[in-house]
Amino acid sequence: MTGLRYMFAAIMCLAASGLHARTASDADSIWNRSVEYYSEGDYANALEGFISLENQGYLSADLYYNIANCYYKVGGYTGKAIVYYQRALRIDPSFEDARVNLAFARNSALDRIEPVPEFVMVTWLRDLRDALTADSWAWMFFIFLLSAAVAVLLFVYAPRPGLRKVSFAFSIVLVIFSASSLAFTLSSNAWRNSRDGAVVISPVTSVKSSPAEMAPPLFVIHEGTDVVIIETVGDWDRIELADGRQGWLRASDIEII
Amino acid sequence: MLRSRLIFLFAVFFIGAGISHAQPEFTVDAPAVVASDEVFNAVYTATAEKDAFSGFVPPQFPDFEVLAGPMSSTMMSTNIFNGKRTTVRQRSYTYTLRPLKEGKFILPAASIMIDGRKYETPETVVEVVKASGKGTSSGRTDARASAGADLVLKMDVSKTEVAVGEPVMATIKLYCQNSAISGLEDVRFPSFNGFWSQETDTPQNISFKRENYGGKVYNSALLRKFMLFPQQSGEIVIDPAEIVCLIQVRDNSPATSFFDDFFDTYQTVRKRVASEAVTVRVKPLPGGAPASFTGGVGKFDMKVALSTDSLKAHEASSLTVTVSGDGNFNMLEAPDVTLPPEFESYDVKKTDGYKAGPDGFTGKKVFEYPFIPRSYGSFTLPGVEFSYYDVSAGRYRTLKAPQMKVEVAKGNATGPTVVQPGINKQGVKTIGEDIRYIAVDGSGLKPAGRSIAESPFMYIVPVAIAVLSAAVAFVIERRRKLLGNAAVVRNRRARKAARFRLRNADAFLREGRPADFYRELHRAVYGYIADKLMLPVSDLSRDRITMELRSAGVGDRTAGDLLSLLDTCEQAIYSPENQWGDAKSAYTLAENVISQIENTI
Repeated sequence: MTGLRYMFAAIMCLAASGLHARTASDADSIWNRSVEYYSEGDYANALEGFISLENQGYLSADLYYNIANCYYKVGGYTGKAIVYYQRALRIDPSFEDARVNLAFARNSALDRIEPVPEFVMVTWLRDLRDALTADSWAWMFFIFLLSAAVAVLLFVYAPRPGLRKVSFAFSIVLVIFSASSLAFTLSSNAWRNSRDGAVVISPVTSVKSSPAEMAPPLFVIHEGTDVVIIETVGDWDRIELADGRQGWLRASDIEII
Repeated sequence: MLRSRLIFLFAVFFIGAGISHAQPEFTVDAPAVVASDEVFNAVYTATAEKDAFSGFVPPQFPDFEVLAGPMSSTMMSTNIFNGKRTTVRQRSYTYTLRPLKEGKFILPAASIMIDGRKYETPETVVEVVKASGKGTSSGRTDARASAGADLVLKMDVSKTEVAVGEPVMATIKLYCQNSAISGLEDVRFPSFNGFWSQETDTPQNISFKRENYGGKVYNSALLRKFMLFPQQSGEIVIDPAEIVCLIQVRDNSPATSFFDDFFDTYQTVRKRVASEAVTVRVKPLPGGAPASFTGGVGKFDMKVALSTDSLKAHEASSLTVTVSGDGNFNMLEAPDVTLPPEFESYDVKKTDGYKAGPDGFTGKKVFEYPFIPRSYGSFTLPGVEFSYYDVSAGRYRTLKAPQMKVEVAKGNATGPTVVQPGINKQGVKTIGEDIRYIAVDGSGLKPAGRSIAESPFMYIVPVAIAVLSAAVAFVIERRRKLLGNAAVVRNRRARKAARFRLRNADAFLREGRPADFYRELHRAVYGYIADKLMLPVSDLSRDRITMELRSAGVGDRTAGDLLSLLDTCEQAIYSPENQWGDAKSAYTLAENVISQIENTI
């Protein structure tokens, strides 16, 4: 009786592993096929393949980047392309190709909005944070913390005073580094998970002063413009542009990054 | 040969002679349009240098009633200009006529002999329209109120249905019947929104001439003429034009005095007249315009040429595209010309060579594409394509120039900068820009998972590090403590150490080595005392030992025994004879001393 049970379990295990292997190789084949479509110039089919991978639950900066490229090449989907480039950058802020292509896609967006100028330090810090992914910063934090602990121990217990002095300096520096790495990790992670950035995906939408169809329009924005969602009431979102102007538009006109 | 040459010379002479003198002529002057109840004059004028008029043959007027005439008059005028004297004599015959019926009638020609030659007037047409039946103004107030009621401002367009880019002529005229206009004020022409507009006719002086307007006799004056090109499709409404006419009204007030009767007083009435708005329906250009369509509507021809016959590297040259014909040159953009990448090209130069015609612009527009070839060799200049929309045919036409093969000879080296021996490097030019390629490697693809930053790792690792550090610290502390009490350790092991040495001494005793025995014994006791007192051996003088032992509570006898034992050992070591003495009792004494001190300390 138990023998049968064991056999059954064994078969299930094999089947499960076989299944897993097959879905993995399926994903690979879909990926390779889509890459082939893209290199032949058949962007619509490439896009279909990549999106099917996304729907199956696969996630990577490269996948989002490829989807964005396909949207851009197919044409008429500037808004979607911008959304996906930014999704790729959320996962891997150091993705140079995605950054360059995002600038291209943004060129096709009709609106030119002067962003409110940012404090220089904030820009520097953000660029530094974006040099690595959140996970990389987490590893840096661990390493720095360990080094800091070793330095502190050396400082306390080193026999020679010269070594103690050096260890003191090192421990201060390493503690600062590890604190910064932790800060960057948390910041990068929070940014990755933030859901208040969005891009306009309908060709044109008029932003109104209150969440109602009859409300007077304040200004008109076009596909590809970045907005920040401040609050949501029913079907309507309150958004803010990069130059600080606010208004209400339909949630269906934008897509959250 | 000679005859033809003579005839030629005669012709030239006569023509020359004719030009140098004023030609005699005989003309007729009559209004073009009259009302059926209107009385008008037809004046026949003969002009000549000498008073040699004779034989005037009057015309017959079958369609008109001759009320008076001919009344003749003569005129002479002398003009001295630049030392040359010219004399002009005129004889005119005036007939006063009244029309018999409505319609278009010909005033027949009259003839006269001037200086022996017969001259005839041309025939003129007089149109007779229905009388307007307007009576004379009655009373002062009526005159003023009705002043200007006959004024009409009309804006006419040549076409009301056009395509985008097709020219439309807009003419603005003022019509009046019997108002006396002394001036115009506040002239407002429409802004022609939706059109590209240009004034083609701006008369400085307003002159009225007779015109048949709606079956009535009106005096019309052309105010302005515009040429319009619609820029967008749909129904474009041209706003009305407005002017204010200053009308002189005779003031028929009852005479206040005898003298006033002689003078007519006039008042100036301001009347605002506006034209009607005109709607022009503009059809959009049909879709599917070829890629080389640059906005040209009309009929065009294209010619392509190079400005220089031979090209040399680093020498400027240009490609000229000449578009000629009729159409909207003002809105015509340069055709797209792609030169090979080795040709450094500059901005297109446009030269306008057209002027306004009755149907828009006529002439040509020259587009010049300057370039400098930067390398030598043979190149193919692609054929220039130019498309325009032919309105009459209702379709796009494309003109294609053939490809041109050119040879560029080697030129001189460029630039005033240092010429390096060898090849002149060129920067890599960006020809086009596109997004970067997709990521081909699919190895990073994995199902969405949590990142490290969100996992419990973020707590586990720091805690682990802290715990590890604490453990290490703890261990070090303990070791420190232990190591720091080396003296204590020594103390604890004093007895063991002493015993070990005593055993060695015993072995030496058994082997019959007295010197070694005493030495080892000495070491055992001395070392034991040093360990026990936790003092280094160097500090142990006899006095010190005594003092320490006493303060430690060891009895004087034991201390004395210890010291004498030490003495004995030292004596035995440093004495020349190698003799035992009482080795065994020394050994026993050592043991005893040690155990006594052990019990005490």
